[in-house]
Amino acid sequence: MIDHARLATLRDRFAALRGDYARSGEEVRTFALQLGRERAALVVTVSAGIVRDRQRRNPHLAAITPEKVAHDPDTAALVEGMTDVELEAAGVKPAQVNNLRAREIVLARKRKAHEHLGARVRVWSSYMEGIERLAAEYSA
Amino acid sequence: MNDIVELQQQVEALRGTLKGLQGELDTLKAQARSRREVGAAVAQQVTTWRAQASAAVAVDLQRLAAGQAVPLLELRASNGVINLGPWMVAAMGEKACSAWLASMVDELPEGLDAPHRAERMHDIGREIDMVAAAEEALLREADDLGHPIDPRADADPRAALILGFGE
Repeated sequence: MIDHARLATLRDRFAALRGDYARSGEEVRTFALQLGRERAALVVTVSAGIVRDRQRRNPHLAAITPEKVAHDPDTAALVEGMTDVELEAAGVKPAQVNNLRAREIVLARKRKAHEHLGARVRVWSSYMEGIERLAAEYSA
Repeated sequence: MNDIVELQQQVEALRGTLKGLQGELDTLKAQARSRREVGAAVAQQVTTWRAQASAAVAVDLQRLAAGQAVPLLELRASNGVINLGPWMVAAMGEKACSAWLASMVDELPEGLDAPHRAERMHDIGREIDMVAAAEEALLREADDLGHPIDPRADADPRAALILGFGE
C-alpha cells in the first residue's frame, strides 16, 4: 500500500526546489549582466584616463578616443588586473570601486548559493527517480 | 531550533549506520567463501594433484614394464592446457606445496562460511530496512517542525512510500 499523501508532499517539495533553482539561476544571470555593464563603464572611464595620459605625452594622437581604447580587449584585461589604488589613479571614483567590489562579492555569494541549490536538485532528482519508479510500479 | 539540530544529528548518525551496514553487505557479496572454505578447497585440490601425478607416473611405469619407450615425467597438454599442479606437488612435495598455498590463503580476509554468510546477509538487509524506516520517520518529523531535511540520493524509496515498511 502506497502512502499517497507522502508522494504528493515529495513531488511538491521537489517542484518547489526546482523552481527555486530556476529563479536563482535567472537572478545570477541578471546580476552578472548588470555587473558586466558596470565593469564596461569602468573600462570606459579608465580608457578616458589612458587617452588623456597619452595625448598629454603626444598631442598629435588626437584620433584616439576613449571608446576605441575601451573596445580593445587588452584594456579590459588591464582593468581586470588593476588594484583599487591603480583604478582610482586612473580616474575611477573610490565609491565606484567600492561599489563594484561589493557587488562582485554579492555575485560570488549568489553563484555559490545557486551551486548549492544545484547540488540539492541533483540529490532530489536521483531520489525522486526511485520514488516515481516505485509509484509507477504500484499504480500499474 | 535545538530540536531540529538534534534531529539532524540523529539523521546523520542513522546515515552513518546505514553506510556501515551497506559496506558490510558489499564485503560479504564480494567474498563468497570464508578463508576456511578456500583453505579446504585448496587442500582438496592438492590431494587431487597428488593423485593425478601418481596416476600419470604409474601409467608410464606400466608402459615401461611392458617394454615401451616412455619419456617419464613428460608434460602433456590437455586441450591446449598444461596443468602444472600435479608436477609442482611431485617436485615440491605435498607438504611444502600445501604449506606454500596455505600461507597465501592466510592472507585472505576471514569471511563467513556459506550458512553464516547467508544468515548475516539476511540480517543486514533487515537492519538496513529498519534503519531506513527510522530515518524516514525523522525526516517527516523535521518536515512537521518546518525545517525539512533533504533525502539521500540513494535512499530506498520504499521507506518513504510503503506503509509499514521496516516494521
